[in-house]
Amino acid sequence: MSCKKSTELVEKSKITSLSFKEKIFLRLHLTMCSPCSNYNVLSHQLDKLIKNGLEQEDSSETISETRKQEIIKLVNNIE
Amino acid sequence: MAESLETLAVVTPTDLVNNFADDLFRFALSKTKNKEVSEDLVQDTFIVAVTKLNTFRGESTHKTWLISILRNKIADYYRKKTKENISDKEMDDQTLSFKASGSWNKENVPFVFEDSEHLLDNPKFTTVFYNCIEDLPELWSAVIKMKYVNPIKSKEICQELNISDTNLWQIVHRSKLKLKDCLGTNWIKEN
Repeated sequence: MSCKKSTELVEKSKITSLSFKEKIFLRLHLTMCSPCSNYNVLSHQLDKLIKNGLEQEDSSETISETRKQEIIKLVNNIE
Repeated sequence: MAESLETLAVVTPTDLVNNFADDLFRFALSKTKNKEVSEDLVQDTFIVAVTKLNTFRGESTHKTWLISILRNKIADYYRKKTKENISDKEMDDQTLSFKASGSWNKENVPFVFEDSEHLLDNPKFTTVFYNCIEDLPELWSAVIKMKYVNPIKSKEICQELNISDTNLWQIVHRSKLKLKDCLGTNWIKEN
């Protein structure tokens, strides 16, 4: 099994389930291939980084005052 | 201001905007990493909220209620984006990671972060990281963000984005390879 295929299976396994054969192939490949085993670790790290990164709020950020005033005007014209 | 008191009082549309515009903006910004888009999403959220203000029963706080409307607006935004880009078929051309045989290119083998737990505390890293996400093809970055905006199952993500299971993990795979290359060049080699 190629490295491309096996790293695809790493992602597939996180989203749907692998067939028995795929599971065996992947496990075997990851034990033998250090770049792919690195990919497996990096993939997990990226999952966490993306998830935590998208939760990270910057408390110093505020909406621009002009936009806020525009929205206030808009919502007062509803009805 | 105590929310319980506030819910009893009459809340005007102006109050809503003044009290919560910044909170909503920060939430939208954390998910989209784009100020202009975030301002638009906040505006749309308030329009919906004010139209439905008479149906607000005070079962949740105003903030929770507004955030739930905003979440839907963010999902809508990504849904539209992925519809526009669904014909993007250039999956394989986007990655330099593999040779035609499917084995790794020597220059592009995966690395592992030594200290991934604390990377997001470093503003230099977050700038590089978010730029790398923004540099992904639009559909891919939408899929990636969508996947983490709502804690929903992948089946629902596929329905939401109108893509197949296979497409979903292929997009995630290609995106991570591209992020690897981008972070390898702009972070690992620089540090």
